[in-house]
Amino acid sequence: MTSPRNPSEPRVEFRETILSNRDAIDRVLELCLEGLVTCGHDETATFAIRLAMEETLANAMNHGNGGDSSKSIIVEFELAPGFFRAAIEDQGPGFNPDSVPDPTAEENLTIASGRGLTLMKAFMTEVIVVPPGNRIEMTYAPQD
Amino acid sequence: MSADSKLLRLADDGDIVEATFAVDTIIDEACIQEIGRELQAAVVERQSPRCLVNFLGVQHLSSAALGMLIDLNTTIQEREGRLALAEIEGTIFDVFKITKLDRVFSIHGTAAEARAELR
Repeated sequence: MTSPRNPSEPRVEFRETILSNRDAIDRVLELCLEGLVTCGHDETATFAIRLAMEETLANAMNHGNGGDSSKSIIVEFELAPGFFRAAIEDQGPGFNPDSVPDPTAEENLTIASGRGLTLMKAFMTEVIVVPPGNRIEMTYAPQD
Repeated sequence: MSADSKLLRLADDGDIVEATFAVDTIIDEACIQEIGRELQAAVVERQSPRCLVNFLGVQHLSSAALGMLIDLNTTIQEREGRLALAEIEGTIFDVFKITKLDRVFSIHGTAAEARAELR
């Protein structure tokens, strides 16, 4: 999904390969937050986008790249009023989203981890796990 | 008795341990781990600990924060204690509903209601 092009509207675009560590992720999140302000996103959108970016980047660092800080993460995001798109790609082998246990199943409710993808899907308009599963593409474009 | 850190304010009246967050964002994993350590330390030595975690002022949280709360709940239940959460509003409450953790935790609208339930 691409954003509607309106040259008079503010637009923020970011594409960078970052190191797979917390400081680099925090810098991306900070730039994303600044972009949300620039593009006039409200509190609901800010919460949703911040949550989805945090979950995706943390998964890329901890699971995709296995906590190896010498690896990298490709980060792209685009913001416009009422629109957000991002793609996050790690250097791991990927994962099959169908093999992830449902964290809302009764038997999994007290397991401490495994809720990131569920939250991303709940708060984003669209989430795509691109095979082999080391790239996540997501869009937030709520209908008025 | 009370103890404050950069992340958490802990008050202990000898009956209930009450934790209030000193930050409005519970996202960073290192911070979440530290919050978890402080909460665990406050309850782990008690018999039947009663703990209230007050979310007043919290604007953002991540799935790692949920995991920290689940671990805390496990520790407290292993000691036959009780954990209550309070002041969870708006989108933060949506996170608990989406993950169905509103069925796992005892969630109250206000801290006063949570204290009354714990006593």
